[in-house]
Amino acid sequence: MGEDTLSRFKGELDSFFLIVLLNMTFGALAMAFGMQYIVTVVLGLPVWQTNPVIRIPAAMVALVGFGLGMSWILTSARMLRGIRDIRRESRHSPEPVNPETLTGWILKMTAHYRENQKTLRQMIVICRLGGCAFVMLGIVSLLQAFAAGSAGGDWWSWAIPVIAAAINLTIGIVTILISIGFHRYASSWDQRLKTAASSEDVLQHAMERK
Amino acid sequence: MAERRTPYEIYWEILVYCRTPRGFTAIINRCDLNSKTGQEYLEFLVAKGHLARIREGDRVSYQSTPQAAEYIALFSSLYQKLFDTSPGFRL
Repeated sequence: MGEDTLSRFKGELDSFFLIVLLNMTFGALAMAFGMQYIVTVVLGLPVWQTNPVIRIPAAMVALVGFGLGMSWILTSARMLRGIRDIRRESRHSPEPVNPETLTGWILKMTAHYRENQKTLRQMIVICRLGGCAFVMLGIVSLLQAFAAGSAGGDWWSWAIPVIAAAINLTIGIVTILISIGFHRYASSWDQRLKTAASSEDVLQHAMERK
Repeated sequence: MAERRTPYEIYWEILVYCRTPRGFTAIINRCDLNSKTGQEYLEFLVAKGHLARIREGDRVSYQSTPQAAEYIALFSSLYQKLFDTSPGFRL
């Protein structure tokens, strides 16, 4: 049990830490781009010489992206704080790890999941919505590039929307992948909580035994 | 809001911590309990024979009994199995 369980535990902890960190980074990027786009559109700066019919819905999508990005960062930061302590403890613990120390970490992770179960579910939804918003924004930028290219303007009139599309599509796709990661993590822990609950009869029996 | 820990998890934490004699305040601080629930948990574990109450003058401390070792081992094995049996999460 010991070593294998330990490596699985550490691997999972690292993966989850990375995914929350990635989530926070992309949340910040989403918010920054959302804000930049709103400022551009609302102030009417002629960054992209495009039709307002395309820019208005794009600005609405950007506004949604900005709001989602804000809540996204805050929830990620809260979640990250909880696992950072467990991760630090497990990384600095001398080898070989005592089985009870490992059980203590598992218990902390279990408590962390219970505490964040609702937030994690919200984050899955937020990530999916945010991801879709950025994919849509990317598609709008591609349409702008296509329109600019068809109009036969300078190279930068279509190159800038292409770059914007690449950024938006990257954020959107990575965010959707993060939501899939969160979903897999939640499924895995839901299964564990179910197993732990079903073990309670055995523990009750051991507790009562004299 | 759902509880962070089940009573069985709290029992395990108390019993492991009390392998060496510990005072009430140290236990409730370490196991993140308030005085009232901490007292209830300790009374329960003493009543079940998993924890011994040691009196030295005015000082009262608690220590896990040999009987607790069985519960600790069973709990550790069940919780470590959570990572062995369920499909894990990796990037």
